[in-house]
Amino acid sequence: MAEAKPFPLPDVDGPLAPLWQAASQGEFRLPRCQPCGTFDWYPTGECRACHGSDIEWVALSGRGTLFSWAVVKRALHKPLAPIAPYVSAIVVIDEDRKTRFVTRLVDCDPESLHAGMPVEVFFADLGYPAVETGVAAPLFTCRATIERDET
Amino acid sequence: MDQNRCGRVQLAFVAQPGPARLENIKGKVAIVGVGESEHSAASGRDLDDMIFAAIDAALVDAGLKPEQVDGLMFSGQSAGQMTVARFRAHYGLNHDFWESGAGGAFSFAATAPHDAWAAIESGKASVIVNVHGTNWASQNKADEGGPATAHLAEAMKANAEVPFGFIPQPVYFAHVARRHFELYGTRPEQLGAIAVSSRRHANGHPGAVMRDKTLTMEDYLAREPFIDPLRIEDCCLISDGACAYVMTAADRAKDFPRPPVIVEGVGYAGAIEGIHFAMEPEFASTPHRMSAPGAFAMADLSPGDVDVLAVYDPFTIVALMAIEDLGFCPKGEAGRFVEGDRLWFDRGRANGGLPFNTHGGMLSHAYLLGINHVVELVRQLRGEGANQVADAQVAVYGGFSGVDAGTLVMRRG
Repeated sequence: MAEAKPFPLPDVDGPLAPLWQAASQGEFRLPRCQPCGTFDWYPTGECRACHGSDIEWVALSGRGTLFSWAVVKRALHKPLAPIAPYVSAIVVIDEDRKTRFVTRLVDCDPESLHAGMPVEVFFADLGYPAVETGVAAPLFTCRATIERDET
Repeated sequence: MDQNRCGRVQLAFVAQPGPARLENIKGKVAIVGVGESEHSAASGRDLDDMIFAAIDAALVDAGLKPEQVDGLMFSGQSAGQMTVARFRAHYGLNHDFWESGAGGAFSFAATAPHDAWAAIESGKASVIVNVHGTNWASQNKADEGGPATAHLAEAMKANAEVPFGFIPQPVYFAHVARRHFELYGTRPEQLGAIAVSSRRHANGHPGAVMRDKTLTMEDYLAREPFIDPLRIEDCCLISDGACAYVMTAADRAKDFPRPPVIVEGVGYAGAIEGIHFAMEPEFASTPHRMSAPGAFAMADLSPGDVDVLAVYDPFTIVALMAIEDLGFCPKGEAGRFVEGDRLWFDRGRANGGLPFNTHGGMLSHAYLLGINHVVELVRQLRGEGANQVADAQVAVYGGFSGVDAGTLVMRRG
């Protein structure tokens, strides 16, 4: 039998190092133009609105809403097979409704999802809950679930 | 030297966001020959053999000898496509060629006539072959390549998408479908109507990979989604094969044996965020919405004039969005529009139909990246279609690559 392919990891020191380094400290950061407040995501180094270059990675609330999702029952990219089935998701961050973040929804019932529902960052290992990769990642979960658990 | 030349052409055709301003070429270019290799699932066939089989067939169709070709268009962005050196070596030629890496399939199968006209008008070429082949089925089977290869290597995807599981294309377009469902109330059986109509056309087309496999709506709905909301039938084939077509000046078309097809309009537009589909501002939409108006304006025609439509259909949802973004129904209403027999070749425009992907498209004919769609439309306009649309006068190809769209409006000559 063929050897299992390694889980696809980001280069934590690469072009998105601030995202991954923040995640390792339990923070969700994205780059934002300081003068005009427009998010530079994905980063180009030049603000899409004012064309300035004064961009900083700022800490966010980690709250957002669900933009779209897909329930991946069978991973076509074989290295992802160990986490299938999983819920791939795009969320809109509360700080800017035009900025989307690609992530995975965890600990949510796929049948309960709808566009616009509140979600919240959930820091866990990138391979949560199936695989231990050693890389902390900003996954997301349904905000209602967390609130229910807290009460 | 040939490599350097096509490298420059390729760089000149990077998709800029928004609609391109194109010179009006209405009535200038004719397509006078079309050809195909055999198309199949993973076959182990050599890409070059398939490409030259398609060119041979197109030249026979056009009544041409290889030495009469003086222009070549192909994809400078896809591995293993045509070069002048290989064309010369294959046919034992040594004359000068004009070449462009801004041809091939995808959106470029729509825009190639525009670039061809620039070469014809300036006297650089008179008979131009546009060709595209793929052996992605064999590559995919051998785990050596395929459609996701370029995406896996892209820096943002590698660092912000792939690690979360947002790969490959069926995952992207499952999100697009879900968003379309949420925004417009589109339903799975409406995607199914596209899959079923395409398969019905493939069942009537001797060259279709899925010619012998039927698909009913009951079959479609009985299948469990594998990347929910997409079922396997919502995804195109992956194939081995090649197609080619031959272009020349429209005023020379009468010298060729087959009825000519005249290019009436061309449009082109780039997506706003390029290959980063998740970031695209109009997420449940395609760049067809920006590409089509220019093509119809050039042709002095509207969607209501179109007798047969072929759109680049990597997924049913992309075809559904293309139908609305090209202007065949209001945005968001394509789900209801495509229900029942609306897309069947034999309903026809006169009966409120929109004959669509009459060869089966990439969903059921072959994954030849849309150049097979242009070949099919040429045959329809000649009256040679396997699923012939009655009195087809005007045809439109909606080409797409994810990062851009190209629109080609053609008329029977």
